[in-house]
Amino acid sequence: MADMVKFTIDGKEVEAPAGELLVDAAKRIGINIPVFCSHPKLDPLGACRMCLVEVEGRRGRQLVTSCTTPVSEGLVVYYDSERARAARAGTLELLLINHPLDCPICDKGGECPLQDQAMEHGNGESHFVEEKHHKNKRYPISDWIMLDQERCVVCWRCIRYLDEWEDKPQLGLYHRGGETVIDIAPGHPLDAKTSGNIVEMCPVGALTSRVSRFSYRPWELSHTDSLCTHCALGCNVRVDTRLNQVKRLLARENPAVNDQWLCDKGRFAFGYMQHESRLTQPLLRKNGTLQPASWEEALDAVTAKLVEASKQPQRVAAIGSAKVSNEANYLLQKFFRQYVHSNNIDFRHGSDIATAGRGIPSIAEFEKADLFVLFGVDMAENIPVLDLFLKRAVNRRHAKVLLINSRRVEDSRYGTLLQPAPGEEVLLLNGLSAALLKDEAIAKRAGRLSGYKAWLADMVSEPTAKLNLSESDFGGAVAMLRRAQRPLFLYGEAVAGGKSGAANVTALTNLALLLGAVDRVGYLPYDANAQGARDMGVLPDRLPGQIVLSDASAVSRLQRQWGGTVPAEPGLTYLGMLQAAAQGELDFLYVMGSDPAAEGMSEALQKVGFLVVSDLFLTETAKLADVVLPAADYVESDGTFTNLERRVQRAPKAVRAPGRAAPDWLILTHLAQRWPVVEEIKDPKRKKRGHGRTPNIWSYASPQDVLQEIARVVPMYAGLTWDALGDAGQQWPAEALPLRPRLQSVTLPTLSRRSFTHWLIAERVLYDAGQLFATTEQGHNLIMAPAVHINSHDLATASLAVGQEIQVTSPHGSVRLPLLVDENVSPGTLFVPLGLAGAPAEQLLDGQYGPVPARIEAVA
Amino acid sequence: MTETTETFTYDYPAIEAIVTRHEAKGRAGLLPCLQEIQAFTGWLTPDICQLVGRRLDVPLADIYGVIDFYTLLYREPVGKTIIRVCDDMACYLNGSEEVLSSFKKWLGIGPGETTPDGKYTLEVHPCLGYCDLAPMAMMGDDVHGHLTPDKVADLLEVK
Repeated sequence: MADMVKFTIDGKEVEAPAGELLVDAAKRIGINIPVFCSHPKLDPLGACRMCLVEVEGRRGRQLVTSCTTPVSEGLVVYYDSERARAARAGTLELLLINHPLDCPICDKGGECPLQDQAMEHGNGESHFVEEKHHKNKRYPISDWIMLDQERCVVCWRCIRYLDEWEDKPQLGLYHRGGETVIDIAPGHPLDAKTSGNIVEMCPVGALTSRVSRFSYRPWELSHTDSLCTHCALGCNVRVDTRLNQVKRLLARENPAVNDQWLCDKGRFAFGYMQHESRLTQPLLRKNGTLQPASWEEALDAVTAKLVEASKQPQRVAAIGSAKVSNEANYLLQKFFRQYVHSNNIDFRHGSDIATAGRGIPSIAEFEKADLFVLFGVDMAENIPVLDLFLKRAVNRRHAKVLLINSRRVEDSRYGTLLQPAPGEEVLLLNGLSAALLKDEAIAKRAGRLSGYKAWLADMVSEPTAKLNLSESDFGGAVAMLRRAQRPLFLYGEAVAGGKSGAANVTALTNLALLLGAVDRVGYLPYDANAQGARDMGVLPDRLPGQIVLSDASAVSRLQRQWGGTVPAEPGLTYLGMLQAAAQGELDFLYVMGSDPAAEGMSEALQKVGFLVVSDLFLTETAKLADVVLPAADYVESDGTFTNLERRVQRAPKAVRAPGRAAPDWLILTHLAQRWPVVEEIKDPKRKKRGHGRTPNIWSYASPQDVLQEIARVVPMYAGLTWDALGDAGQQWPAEALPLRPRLQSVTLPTLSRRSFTHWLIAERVLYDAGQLFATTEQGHNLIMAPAVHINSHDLATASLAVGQEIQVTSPHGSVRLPLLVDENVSPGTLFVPLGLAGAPAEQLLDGQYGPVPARIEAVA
Repeated sequence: MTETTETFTYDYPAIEAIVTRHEAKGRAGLLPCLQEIQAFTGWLTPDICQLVGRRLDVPLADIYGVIDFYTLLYREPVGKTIIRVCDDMACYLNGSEEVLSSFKKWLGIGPGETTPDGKYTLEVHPCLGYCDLAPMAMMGDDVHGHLTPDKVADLLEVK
């Protein structure tokens, strides 16, 4: 605890920790000293002079800036003195000399600190009658942000944010004195992925969002405290709406999650919510085409087919979604387990990913860890806000970063990058483990594992030579690991899926075990509710609470809750279902908020007997469906989401769904109520039929009712209620899902390129061509054009030219793509981002995860 | 833009040497580094700014900020010789207006402009510190005092 000091403001005695800034100390006792440049998240600067107060000093009373003055014992401060008031009024008058009078059309008008402070502290009139300076207005500095240099008060908040947090100082001060302006370097628009935060920090209307400019007046907006569902971090947002229209999203402060930041995708890409292409009514396939239908017709058609198909439950499957709420996912698996008796339930990146199912240890760990091991993780690209915390740890606490990635990613600039070729990750990790075991203390910790040690030593001799790594990089990595007091190991879906996924994760876990840090290994999912979907049991081999099917007591507990029996055999995984579909082995498939057809699976899906899709848009999958159900987005219904640190957070309804679209929980409830068993139960004679005990009837009136049941059924959600979640959410403790970690020998995955020349790496990018992003017009320029990225070395070897159209072939497909030189791609690999227009990467992967062999050749 | 560049000695090894000399100082070496490079190239091209930024570890936006802050650094092509006519108090009272119009007449350009042959750029400056020589102007680094329209013609060798 810091030493406390006593000082006075306007005669009032105040106690504060020594060194606290005067402006903050004053705020705590209710004196709001006006500021522009000072910001709680930025280093003090003292640029705007708005916070002048008088301080008793050796040479009498002096004016000082309270945002740069630390409090000290016996300090005598005058805030409300005549001279201090005059100084602040004077500063305001100077700030307003050249400030344009366009408040009536300024987006900031009504919530503008400059307006407020001019009212509270200003003189009301100006001594200046001269012409105002004219500067650039309506000056775009990126696709998202418009700069008005005339409105700027040169507080530097934007410059400092980009420098101190984003570590991409792309804005600077130009010219001098009264002509000073903020500007980008010519020809270099902002491309920081969290640049939108400067719009929110700007104390005037100088930086405005091009997405929501001129579309609202702040005082007309209604506010809903909600979440962002673009990635798994679950940033807290405030949804501002007017007349049932979402007008803008702002960051909502939650120190445990996103602090007060949002990334640009989260802030700006909400155009999809009210896009004209949203589905507004159910569609039913009649005579080969999808035609509008009533909910009655659509649900009756689904029920009729499903009842028929459920006679062979192994031929029925359901795909849940890591993009929809816990409630919808819970009901989906409940419906299929309880009524249809099928365990064929999964979601994309669900059970096909090797993970302990606990996400990352906690976001707060980013403030403590001294070494970040990023294995197949591109945080800067996929989770930009979490990446801010990594940057902060590196720049402020000098934390170290070790990256293991076949591709050079943005965070490579913060540490050592080891680039194993696909399939060689395990060799590298084992090599690191073997090197660490040479350290006595570490070997001691590993204890009686002579068998493991012998196996390891046997397997990894001279890893650097085998892996083509430099001795110094490898040695440096080993030293980093050995020195780390509190390492944090993170792995992503790029290495946790596919054939080598399980081996990769085991090898990483071994490494963490040797360092005594096994509880600090985390899986970094990319989809908003990837953790929640797991917790809800949208997995073919796990029940709600991630309980294994063989846990008899848990199963009987669940059966008591639900009534009926839970099927005992594990079902098909996501990829398994699609394979079964391709073989014509699925009679019925229910797809909720997922689009497997966009992953090149449309042929397989065409062979499904009856396909039902509930989604926001007429997706590729929906186009193939027999029944399409228009779903509501998360802002159109109450729901909870569980983020990557297992924090359950609520997202309340902010607007009405378009047309007759309905939330997934309601759609499923209606389906359940049509199920024939309901008639049976209502029948006084209640003749038992079929599967043992009769399942209970569903009677949910709201998502809160579903949450209540989840809290009863899912052990780690015990006691959760909508009200108790509050604004900050609740994290379930990782210990609730115990690990039984031990060192395990890992078989090296046998990945072979066969006759192919390259490995194709396909990973996600933030700005993709998916409907959730591409429907926001302002983001169109940011979407990567489809291309195959290749190292210049490989380009020279293949004697191909940049920009040339080439044929990329994998065992699963073949596409034509332009060639792009990208030195971040290592030799021997090709990189094609996922989710681009025309889905080239998906066609080459054909539903597979992880790297696949590929070759390139010139188009004849 | 490129045509004008070619009128200058664009000696890459020389620039490289300058940058190398200032590299270790980081941001503190920025001003002397830019000045020395500009002495070679006349103005600071975008690729020079990028090179200096990368090597001295200064953000590009800050480099342009510094260039814009100082009048004597240029981020656009300028003439081989820069003519700076003082129009502050002492020079003004001694006839700087006539001196300036004489420059304008002979060069055929206005203040802030460059002659089509890339030889001269004309600028009007506040006090250059030679009030004893008023009215005065600088051509490159040379100071010329007590100017008259005739002397201007002599300087430009146009008679």
